[in-house]
Formats: sequence, structure tokens, C-alpha cells
Amino acid sequence: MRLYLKLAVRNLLRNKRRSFIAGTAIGIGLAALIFTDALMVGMERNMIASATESFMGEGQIHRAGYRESYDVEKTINRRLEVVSGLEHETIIRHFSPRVFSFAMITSPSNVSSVSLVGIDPDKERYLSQVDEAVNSGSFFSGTGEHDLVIGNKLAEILEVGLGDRLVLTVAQAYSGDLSQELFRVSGIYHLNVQEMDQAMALVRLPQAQKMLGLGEEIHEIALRFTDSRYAEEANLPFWRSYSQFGNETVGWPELMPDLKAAFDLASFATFFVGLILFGVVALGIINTLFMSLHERMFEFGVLRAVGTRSSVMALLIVFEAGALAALSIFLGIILGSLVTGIMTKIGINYVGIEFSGVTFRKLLYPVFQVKQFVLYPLVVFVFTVLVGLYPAIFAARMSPAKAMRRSF
Amino acid sequence: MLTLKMAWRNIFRQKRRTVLSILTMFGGFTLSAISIGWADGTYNRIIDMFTRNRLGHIQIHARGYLDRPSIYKWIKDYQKIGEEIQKIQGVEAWVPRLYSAGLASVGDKSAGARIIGIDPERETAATRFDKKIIQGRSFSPKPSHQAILGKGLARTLKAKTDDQIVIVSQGADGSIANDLYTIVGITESGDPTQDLSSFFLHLKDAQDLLVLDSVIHEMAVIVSKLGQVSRITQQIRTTLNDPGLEVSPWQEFGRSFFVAMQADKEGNWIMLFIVVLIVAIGVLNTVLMTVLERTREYGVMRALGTGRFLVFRLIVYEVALMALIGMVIGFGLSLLINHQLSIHGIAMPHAFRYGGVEFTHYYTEINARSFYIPAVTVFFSALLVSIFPALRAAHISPARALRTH
Amino acid sequence: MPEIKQDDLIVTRSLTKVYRDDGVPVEAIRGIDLTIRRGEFTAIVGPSGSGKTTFLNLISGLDTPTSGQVWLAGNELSALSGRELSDFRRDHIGFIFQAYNLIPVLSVEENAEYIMLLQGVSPGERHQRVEEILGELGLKGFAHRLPTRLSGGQQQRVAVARAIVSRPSLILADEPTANLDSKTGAELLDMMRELNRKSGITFLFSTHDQQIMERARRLVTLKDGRIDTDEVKG
Repeated sequence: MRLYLKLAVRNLLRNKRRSFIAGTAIGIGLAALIFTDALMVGMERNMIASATESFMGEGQIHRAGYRESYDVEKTINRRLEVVSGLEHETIIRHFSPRVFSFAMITSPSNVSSVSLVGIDPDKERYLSQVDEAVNSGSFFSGTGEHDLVIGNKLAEILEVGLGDRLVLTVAQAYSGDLSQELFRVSGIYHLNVQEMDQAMALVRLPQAQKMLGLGEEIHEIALRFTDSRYAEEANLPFWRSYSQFGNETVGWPELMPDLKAAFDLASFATFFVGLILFGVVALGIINTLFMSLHERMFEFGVLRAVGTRSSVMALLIVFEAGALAALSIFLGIILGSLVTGIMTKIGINYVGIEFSGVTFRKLLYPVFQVKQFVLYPLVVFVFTVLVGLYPAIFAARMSPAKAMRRSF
Repeated sequence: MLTLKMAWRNIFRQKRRTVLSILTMFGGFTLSAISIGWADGTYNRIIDMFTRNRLGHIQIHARGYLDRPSIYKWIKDYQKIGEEIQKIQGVEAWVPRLYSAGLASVGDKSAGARIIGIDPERETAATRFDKKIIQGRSFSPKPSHQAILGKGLARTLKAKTDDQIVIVSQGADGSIANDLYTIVGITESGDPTQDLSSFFLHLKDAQDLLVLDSVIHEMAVIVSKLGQVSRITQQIRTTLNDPGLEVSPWQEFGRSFFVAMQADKEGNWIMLFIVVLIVAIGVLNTVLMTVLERTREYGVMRALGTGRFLVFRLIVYEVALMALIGMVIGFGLSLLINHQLSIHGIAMPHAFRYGGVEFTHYYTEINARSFYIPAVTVFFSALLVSIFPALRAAHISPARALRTH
Repeated sequence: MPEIKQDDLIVTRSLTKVYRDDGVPVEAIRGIDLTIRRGEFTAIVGPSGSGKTTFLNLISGLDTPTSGQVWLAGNELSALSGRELSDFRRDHIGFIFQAYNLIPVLSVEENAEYIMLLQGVSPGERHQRVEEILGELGLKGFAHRLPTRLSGGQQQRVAVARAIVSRPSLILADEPTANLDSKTGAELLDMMRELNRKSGITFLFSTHDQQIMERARRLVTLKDGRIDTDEVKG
């Protein structure tokens, strides 16, 4: 009824300072919710992008069991079929074949163990960001068969630069015989991911296959979808159709279970903290409503005396809680948008920090989402009104005579 | 003191309001205490695992080794250095280590390996090396061409104890280093990534393999108390006084973890700040209201000759008393919760990697910090916030106040 | 059950109220038998603590007696539920208190029409009645003022307006003139007497104001919770 609304709003305005202060407290809670949510979304996106775009891809195809042991003999079954299938797959935007092996890399000054990766540069260019991270030399732009591209950290450890020669030693598939080849550093990259800058050596696919005695076989095909959300869809028929014939195709959530777990954990922790925080906020709401109730005891007595039902008294308080909620939401949205908005311009620098196996490569920016401005305010509104039930019921139960006796 | 007595009785006048205020401060305190206890517990446990179990609290290398590891950056006369270090108060133990990279093969399987030469006796005493062996046993005391593999490496090579393993590497003289060893044990360090490539040899065997006569690459130092690390690092530096050596505390060689932890801690501080802010606002409103209601009463007090400062103190004492009660209750509850969690921890559904370290449980810690930081912040913010209304009350003009109601 | 005639608005039998103030029982009202008829302009008189306010609370259902019975317009109050009592007050009783009658955040008009709102009277009708009564009580043009900008006397007149405009059978006034100066008080009382004459609404006062006692047609004196004297003046 319009009367309730009228009374609620005007009563709220009666003590502007108190209402504003109370509204601010609740508003800060809402703002914190908005900001934290935006940050978590931003963090998720940043980390997923960092993981999938730098090298991993949004999904990968391997021989079943390859990921457990990285056995150099476990190459992808029916390679030609798989590749031609992928070429006609509408949801796949790019794919890139790879060969891996453990290797020893030696320079005149040092020796290190690395992961040797054979790639097809033309395909790899579209999938990973290593090519963009090359800041010295090039990413296989020439035709040299023995071109080698390494990370800057590895270059430092081996004390080499562009043009220097390095020896790669691997153990061949099936025979275990050692195979050595000389390569020339043709490109150095800086991805800002420690693991990749320090322990990866990229060569052309045929070179790696030859060294390992693999013929034309490959270990992995990295995938990029037309829409990155496909990767998270567990029920996509794509996974099943490419997991036949002894192969296994999975998306990044399975490749990085740690990451998913970390996100879940973070959400849970935030939820838990938010719960307690709002517990404290609830106390503030109750206190405020009771204070405003207390100073109007006689007035409430009069209202009851002249014939207002107790249920109506409760409703009056509930409407007041609602009005307070509305004010708080207004303040909270302003504060939340402001703080979050500023951060979307500045960003948080976590670059280089590793979390759950993924390193931040770009600044972390919070991300605005509709739910932050619709769902959370709604939750806060309902919460405030529910909390207001306590003082509301108190007001309803009050006997008129007692209420009027109190103040005099 | 009369003021204290009055303050105490005053807070019971408005039972509901007092209870709510106390609950607010209690809630803020408990949340902060558990939060800090949790953060400290988790971090300290990780740091401990990290340092005590594997890497040591402090590491000594030849200058430049940490930044660009090289087989040629070695430490000479490490025995003498060890003796000097051992004399420093707070140092529990030290271990020598030698590193290189190579290719390991068992049968027709090979994999990249990180060669680590250790002194088995020292290593066991300092980092409980023998406790981490999950199959087979530790090294025999004398160098006997034995090798111990990390769990992941053993799996990749499909190796078991008593298998023969070949390692190929590059010697310090530039020659190809290769030799055959017998696998006597398989170890699990807690870091799966490390275990994928760890290849342990007796220090002497490693030195022979790599043609490095009685030198090492790293000395790891274990201290008895985590908090002593900075002091001891400084002391080692001054004792050794050698510009060719680099003494690094764990924050430097465990940089990635340290940085991740710092970032996380910052997030925690911000959350704490918000909690305290909301609590403070709640207290402000309550005190303002109470002062307003009692305007006439204060007016009477002032008319009777009560000094301004007493009125001011009265209000501040009331807030202080409520804060104390809230904190005592909060202390009790958070002690209980923290105690439980520090022993049992919260098991996580999925093991968790953080800054390169993996762990499966969240533990809290009971320490002084998790109590005095919330106590101080909640208490002082409540007091701070009560100053404004208390000043207002103290400056109420008696005549005007008596006209109210 | 006593015989209640059509004309009897308020009937009490052995009405008693005992308070417990921190464990010490205080007998505010002891066994009062009283009948008030429709159209009366009666004052309940007595020193402070004689039970006047308590009596008014009991006969209006604002409080429940410890023992004894009250009938209002033939309805026995103890038989009514909380909601029924509430609705009864809304429809049949008007209240005027010593002070703080009005809702501070509502204007004069909004205050006056409040009870009619509860009764569900249409907006047009409400507006018309309020305009009429404000005119009668000399408050023309005050419709949109807030109570804080009214004098004590004006506030009391608005309370009267609110009480009258919902067409009750009974108006209870507890010390309505205590906070007013004698001239304003006299004016207010004359207005109320005029209303009583015109509309026949029963007025029951609780007071120790001489001016009310002079104008009342019946004086009931309470002493120590009992009826001391009960005179009908000429």
C-alpha cells in the first residue's frame, strides 16, 4: 500500500544521518560483493586465457594413457583420419600437431634438461602465443631445418645468443638409442612463464620426428575452438567422437584439474567470508531498526490504540527495512562500480605469479557482469528485509498500553 | 572509579542494543582471528614443508648461481664453511648438494633427469631424506654407484629398485659423462614436478661423474625457528665474509611462492579492513543514538557540575567495556575453532598447487598474531569511532539539554 | 451478565487491574462498577496514581484487566481477539492523548485521514470529510503542514479531527489539555462540547483540569483505584 511506502521512506529520512550511516555499512557489504565477484571472474578469465592461449590450447588430443607417463612411443592413433576430421570440424578454429620428448641440451658453458617440442610453425602461430613472445630473432620464419627457438631464461643459463649452436640429445623411441643433433638458435622468446622460458626447446616437427625415430607420428594435437566456451562443456559430442580408437580428447578443465579446483575453492572461501561479513551487517541492520523503533515507542502505541492491526505494524517495519535496503543498494552500487571501475582501468599486477600451475601473464582486471548489479542487490534486498523481520515481529507483539507507558 | 562503575551499569540499561553491539564486535573479532590464523597456518605450514623438508631455510651458492645456474659456479672448501655455519646460534643443520642435468635411461626408456648429489647422512639428519623414500631404502654410507629416483621419474622409466640405470651428462671438463648405477630407492618429496626428474646420487659419485673434485653447488641451511631466518642469514654473511658467495634466505630462492603468498596476504588485509570498517560503522551508529537519547541526562550531569572530560570518558568507557566483552567471547570462540582446525585441518576435495607447492589440507595456526591484530584493530577502531559522539556529549550545553523532552 | 440496555455504551463490573512493578504488586484499579451511556460528556477525575489512565486503557481494550469485565456497545472485551479489539477500536473509539498524538512524518491531512485509511474509506470521501472537519476546527489551510510546525493547541485540534472524522461512538481523551495554556485549553474543550452536542458522540475524559471539570456534565472521582463520587451535574 502506498501508505506503508510513504511512512517507510519518510521515517527513514527522519534521521538522515543514522539512515545514511547504516546504509553505508550495508552498501559497503554489497560493494565488496560486487568487487570480489568481478575480480574472481577477471581472475578466472585471465588464468584460463593465460593457460590456454600461451601454449596449451583449449583442448588436446593424445593417445589414451600418454598423459600419465609421457611415453615417447604413445603416439596418436589414426593420425591422418584425426587430422582430416579436424580440418572439417566446424567448431574447431585452429589445431596444431606436436611432438615431445625429454632432452638434454648442451652449450659450451652449460648443460640443462629441457622438453624438446617439435612443432609446425605455420599451424602453431595461430594457436599459441610463443611466436608473439619472440623478441630476438624470429619464430621459424626462415627455412633452416636446424632452427631452434628457446626461452630467454634458458638462453641465459646456457649463455647463448642468436646464431649460437647447441646440441640436443634424446633417446629414440623403441630402441632407446641416444640421438644427438646440432641446432642453431634462431629465435629467443620471453613468455613470462618460468617453466616455458626455462625448460622448453622448440624445433621443426620433422626434425623432432627424425631425431626420435617417429616417422610421421605425433604425440599431441592442441585445439582452439571457434568459441572458447566449448572447452568447458562437458557434454560436447566432440570429446567423444575424437576419443575413439584408443585416443583421448579432453578440454582444459581436465588438463588442468588444479585450476578448476582452485576456482571452486576460491568461490567457496569467498562465500564463507561473505556469509560472516553479512552476519556482521545483519547486526547493524537490526540495531538500526531497533533504534528507530525505540524512539517512536509512544507513536507506535498511538497507532495501535487508534486501531492499527499488529500485522500492519510489522509490515510498517518491514517496509522500513525495505527502504533502508533500497538506500543501501543505491550506495553500494555506486561504491562498487566506482572501485571496480577504477580497477578495470588500473588492473592488478600479478604478472609472473604462479597459482595452481598457471602463471599470470597479463594484468588482472575485474570484469563487470550483469549478475553483480541484478542478483547481488536483490540478495542484499531480500536479506535486509528478512533481517528486518526480527524488529518487525517485536513491533507487532507490543501491547499499546506498554508502548505508551515506556516513554512517560 | 565512579566513571567505570557508571559505564558498566549504563551498558546494561539497553540490553538489546548492548547485546547487538557486543555481537557486532565479537563477529568482527572472530572473523579476523580465524582468518589470520588460517592464513598464517597455511602459509607457515607450506613454508615449513618447502624449507625444512627440501630446500632449506637459507641457501649458499657461488655468486650468480641462483640467477644463472651453471655447473662451473661451484663452492670450494665447503666443509670449512659448514663448520663456521654450524657455530652460529639457531642453525640446526646444513647439507651440501651438487646439481646437473642429464638423460637417464632404464632399458629402452629414457627421460630427462636432474642430477642431485647429496651427503646421505647429513641429508637424512637435516631434511629427513630417508623418511621420504617410499620404495627400497636410502643410500649406503659409502659411495657405491647407487641411485635414488623421484617417483615420477621412476614411473616414466618404468624402473624399480635393483634396476640398472644409465645417466648421460656433460662433465666439467667438457667430456661426455656417463655411468651406470643401481637403483636402491624411490622417493616422494611432495612436489610431483620435482619427482618427475629427481635423480639422487651419493655426493662422491656425482662428483666423479661430473669431474668436479670436492666442490659443490649449494649448501642448504636448516634453522630451528622460522622467524630467525633473517638474523641468521645476516650472520652467515658476516661470518663468511666472502664476496664470491651468495647467501639467500628462502624468500629469495623460493621467490615464486613468496611473491604469490605476499599477493594473497594483501588480499587478506583488504578483507580485514572492510570487516573492521563495517564493525566501526555499526558501533558509530549505536553510540550516536545512545548519546542522543541521553542528552537530557548528560545535561543534568553537567548542570550538577560534572566536568566535560568525565562525560567524555563515560561514553568511551562504555564502548571500551562492550568491546572488551565482545573480544573476550570472540577470543574464546576463535581459540576453540582455531585449535580444532590447527589439529584436524580442513581436508580439501582436491590437492592444491600454490606457488609450485602442493598440499592437501588447510590448517589454521594458533598464534599471538591472530589474536592481538584483531583485538587491537577492533578495539581501537571502536574507540576511535566513539570519540566523535563522546565529544558531542561532552559539549552539550546543560541549559539546552534540559529543555529537551 | 448484567442487564445491558441499548443506551449503555460502556459497562464495567468489578473491574480490577494489578500491576507487578519489579515484583511488588500495585493495585491500580480495584473492583470498579461503572456505566457510561451514549452521548455523555463525562470526566474521570482524581489525583495522579488514582488509576484514571489505567481505567481508560482497560475500557478501550488497550490493556487487559486482572479480573472483572468490560462491555463496550454490548461486546464483552475479553471475548474479543487481539485483531477484533484492534478493529473495534478502529471503528468505534477515538483517542486523544496528552501529547504526541500525531505521526510526525505525516501532514495534518494525512494524520487526520489515517483511521479512515484503515477503515477503507474511498479517497474522495476521505478528502471531503477531512476538509470539512478542519474547517470546523479552525484549521483551514493547514492540511499540508507537518506536526512539528504546529503549536500545541493546533496539534491537539488535529488529534480531535482525526478522532471525529472516523465516526466513532466514543472518544477517550487522556489529559488532553495538560500541555496547553488555559485559553487554548478552553477553546479546545468548547469545540469538543460542541461536537458532542451536534453528533452525539460520547466523550470520556481523564483529567485533573478544572476547565474540563467545569464543562463535564458528569464527574466520576477515583480514589485509590475505587470510585469515590459520581455526580451528574445539571
